[in-house]
Amino acid sequence: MNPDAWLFHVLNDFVGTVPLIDWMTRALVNDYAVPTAMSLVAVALWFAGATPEERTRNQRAVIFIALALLFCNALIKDLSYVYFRPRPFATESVKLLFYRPSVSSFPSIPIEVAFSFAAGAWYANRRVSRMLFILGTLYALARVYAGVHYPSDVIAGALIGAGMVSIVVRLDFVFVPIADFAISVARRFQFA
Amino acid sequence: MFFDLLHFGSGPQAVNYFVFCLAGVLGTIQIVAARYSRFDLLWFEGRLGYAFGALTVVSSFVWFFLTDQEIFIPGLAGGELFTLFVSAFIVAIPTTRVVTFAAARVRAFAVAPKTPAREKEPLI
Repeated sequence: MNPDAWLFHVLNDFVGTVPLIDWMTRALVNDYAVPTAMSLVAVALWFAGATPEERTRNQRAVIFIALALLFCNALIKDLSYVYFRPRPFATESVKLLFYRPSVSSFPSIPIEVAFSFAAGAWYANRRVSRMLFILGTLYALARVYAGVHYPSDVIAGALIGAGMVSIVVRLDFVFVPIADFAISVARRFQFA
Repeated sequence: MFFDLLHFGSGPQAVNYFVFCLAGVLGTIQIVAARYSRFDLLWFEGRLGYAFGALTVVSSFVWFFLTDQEIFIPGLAGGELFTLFVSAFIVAIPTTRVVTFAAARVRAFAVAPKTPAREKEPLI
């Protein structure tokens, strides 16, 4: 058995042992709870800031998250044309706590989204970012525990999400003017 | 082109998710407005602003996850969720500003000192 499948079974074989853990996993693993909570944190960052400079920095971070998500989704869509990995439930004996998604298992798109939010928040507020990284890690564990991803899927998703934000931040000479233009338009229409 | 790819389904899930996001965004804005004294967004001053925002956010999550029966079946995908969240954000901002304006007018009316009625002056 390869290490990925072994680690998958270490987590997934616990399903049904502690009902409270199963219940918490089902609360986390769905497509709505964590992405929506992280989006609300981005809304909070968009309006937060004690000074105009701090507010601009926060708003740039939100724009960087949006750009990173856009690039990540384009990358993963292209990747899915050349590599399709079946879900664990298609090849292994799995205790499934979720429905059977049909898209490629590798990389995990929900985890890529979660880690884009967490890494983007690092640029604005490190305390908030740490909380989002913890939530993203719990989300990743829940996806494996629930039987919808292998560990390598969520690790790849996390690296792609955080890595894309890092690239966008490093290319600030390109993306800061774009972000500032978007912020000025939003402010003109009273959206920021 | 992007909108052609969206499939919101026939059930109430898209509407439920939109309402969930709208309430969540409105509550989040109130928490931030109370924290940073953003009087251009604030509905209630002081701790009441925090409490109202937090209660709205928590209520939206509880309502959505207790009432929506389609969470664990294939439903809305990433594109639909993104579109609904952004739509809720776009609706939430003018709603917040209109309510803030109305609340400020009500507060100003409530605290305005009553001017005593002028006594009638004799005509002579």
